[in-house]
Amino acid sequence: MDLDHVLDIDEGRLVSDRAAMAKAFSNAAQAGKPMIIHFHGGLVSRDSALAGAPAMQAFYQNAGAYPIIPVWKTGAWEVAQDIWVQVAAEALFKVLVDRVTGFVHARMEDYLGTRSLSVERTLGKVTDDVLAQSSTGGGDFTREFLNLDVNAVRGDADLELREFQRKSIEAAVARDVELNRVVDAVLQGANLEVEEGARSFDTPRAPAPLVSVADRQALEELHGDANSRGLGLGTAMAVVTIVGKVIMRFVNRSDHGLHATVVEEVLRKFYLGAIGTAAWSKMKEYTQLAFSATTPNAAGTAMIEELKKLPATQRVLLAGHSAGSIFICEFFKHLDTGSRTFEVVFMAPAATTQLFTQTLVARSQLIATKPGGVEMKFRMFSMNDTYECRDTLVRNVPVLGDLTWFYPRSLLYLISGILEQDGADEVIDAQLLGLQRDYDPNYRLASDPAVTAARQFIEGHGERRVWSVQSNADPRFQSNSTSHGGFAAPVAGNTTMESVAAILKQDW
Amino acid sequence: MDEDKHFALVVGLSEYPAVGRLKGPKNDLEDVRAWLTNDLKVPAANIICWTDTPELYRHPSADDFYGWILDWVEKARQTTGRFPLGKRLYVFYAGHGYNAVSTQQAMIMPRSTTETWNVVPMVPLRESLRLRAHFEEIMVLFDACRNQLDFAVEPVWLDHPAASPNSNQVKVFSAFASKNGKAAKEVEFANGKWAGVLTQAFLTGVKGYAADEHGVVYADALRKFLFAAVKQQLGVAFEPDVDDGCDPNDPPWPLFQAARKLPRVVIDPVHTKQGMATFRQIRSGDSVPIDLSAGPQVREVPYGYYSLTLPDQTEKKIIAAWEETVVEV
Repeated sequence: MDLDHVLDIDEGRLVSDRAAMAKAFSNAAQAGKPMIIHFHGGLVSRDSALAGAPAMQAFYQNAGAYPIIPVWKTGAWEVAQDIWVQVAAEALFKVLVDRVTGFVHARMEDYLGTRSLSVERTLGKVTDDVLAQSSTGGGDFTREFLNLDVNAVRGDADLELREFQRKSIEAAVARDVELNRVVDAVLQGANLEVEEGARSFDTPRAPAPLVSVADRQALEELHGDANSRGLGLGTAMAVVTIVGKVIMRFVNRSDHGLHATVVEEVLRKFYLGAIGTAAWSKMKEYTQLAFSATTPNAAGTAMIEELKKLPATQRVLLAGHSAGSIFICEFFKHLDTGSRTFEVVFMAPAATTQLFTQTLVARSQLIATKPGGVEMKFRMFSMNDTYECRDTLVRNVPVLGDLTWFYPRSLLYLISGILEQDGADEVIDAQLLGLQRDYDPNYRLASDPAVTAARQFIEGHGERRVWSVQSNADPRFQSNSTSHGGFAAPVAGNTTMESVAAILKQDW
Repeated sequence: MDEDKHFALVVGLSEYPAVGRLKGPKNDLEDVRAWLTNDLKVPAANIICWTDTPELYRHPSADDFYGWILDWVEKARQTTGRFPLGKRLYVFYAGHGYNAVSTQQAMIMPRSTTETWNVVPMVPLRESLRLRAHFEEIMVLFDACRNQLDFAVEPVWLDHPAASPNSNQVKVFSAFASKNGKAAKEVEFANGKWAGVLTQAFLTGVKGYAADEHGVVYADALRKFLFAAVKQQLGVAFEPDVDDGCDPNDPPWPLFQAARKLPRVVIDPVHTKQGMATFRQIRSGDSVPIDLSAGPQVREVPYGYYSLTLPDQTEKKIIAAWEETVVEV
């Protein structure tokens, strides 16, 4: 680890040498170069961040800057992707995605003109190929596959499941032998064997247990319902709950398309722990701990102390990719560096608009300005919504490649869908700074004060954001990133990072 | 027509607290009422319309149907004749429906819940009316789903009249929106109005598109028209269930008079702009050549099934029933 450029941070504590850190900041001042502090994203393990630091360091040095690279341990979130691979492969996950999609589609079809009181599936099987087509296409099932336009059902309370439709789904699930056998096997695998009488006549005991990464609490609840009402009805209750939630998201216009919303709600019901909701919250907590008075050797506080020592003329650019933007928001919350101002670059930021407006917008006087004192030295690079929808969450898995069948959209959509929490309360369709859809004047929460403030800050000034893919004659306004993870890759040809390099070289 | 001897019960139910709202039935009710009043000149006093009644949605219910029948029974006691109450009775229903395992297609009343069902089986109702022979003719239109529900109750019909000696002479025309086990559809029509496909097909047919060159809509012609119109609107997988009530050896049963209207088929050469195509009526085999280089062409044809053979010998199937069909080739 090159302590002249790299800081090692664990749960908000600076674990690398404090004196070395002071020297690094001092070196930057003496070098007469712009300093860049680059905060990496959350799905990066400490080892891979350390391994990648030399390349990042070299990239910024080539741009004529003095880089500081905090490697911050993001806890269990670092391994979330490993667990997603397991979830994606599970029979329970796959069969639930198929069934929930089928029922929601049937309800939509009825809503669009069927005079039936039941919910009867007409949709073809949701195979891996269908899911992959959705993921690599527009981020949702095609209109041809659904034979309907999901935009035509959004926002109408009449879509909501009623008593007869719930009953109809219950009846269909109760006689769904394949689904019930998978549930039976998963319960066996969790040592939650259902009582013999709980199985219906036509659903014999699953021959072998299946080990699942589903949440223990969710399986215990399912086990209890299966024993008290029968396996079929117990399963049905869970499926009806998921179907109802997906439909309500369409009613409330908080959906992320049919495919992504179905996956999100299946995960919420059975895999909230596995998907990393708690880990995501914990990781955000670490960014707060970095500035806490109760954290020994708090890394963020230490950085602020060193920044205070820099000469007033020293350029300091804070760059944050994905969850790194959250770190920078916390940074702004705690800055007490007097009149010092900072340049800011966000890449696919995962910070919520609320956090952003409470920190950077509220303290925008701390953002450096161009000569004249009006134009702020702030720029956000993020994908336009077409690419955000088309991004594949899990890529480059050994042997398996891209898990196109798992989740059809980007990490930001997944975070927005199920990872954000408000205390113990679930947050659905959280507003994230890097999601272009949240800036649409027709977005369901367009009039929310935080969304409005973020929209005015970002969209009100064209030079403050670059929605990829965007070419520009000015090399500081380019981005060809089409995957969430790709923004901050320090490689030739990544025009997002080349734009950051140009900003460092040419100033703003 | 002896209009004052025509009577109708028109039921259009859109609001179902336990099932969900339908967009079309209230429009169906209004369209049928308008047709009866304006086209057939049936006196308004002869038309009973029932729609859902908020806010408890307790009416109409099965009891209302029994009450309606008992009213006819009471009136029949006060008169005489082979068919003492009139020439024709119409029973229209648009709303939610299902088909019980006993193959009884049933109307669902809005007050139904999954625990307390309130349903009216259509065929037993129709038979109650036929057996009494109060009317010479009965027309039944059931624009509702017939999905089989394994959790549904078997509908019970508690009216069991003795058969009138004349009941065998009562002519009955029945049209159901779908076959047993299938759903019925309502769609948004071109004027932006949601309505039941069967009801709108029926109204389109009786207003002239099912009429012959003399302006008569016969029962068997209306039956054929309904098949064509439903399939044209929803696709060939959808098929109504229609019984024209006629002995095929008897003279055809004239139902209505309406000036004949012919569906227009617009052949629009968008992709194939050159060459000769052949437009053929499938049933008769009659064909006419179409010069595609002449641009869009309009043909007014009797309702039915057609084919268009393109210069490369590919064949397009065409159904013509509604006012206009545009075929892009």
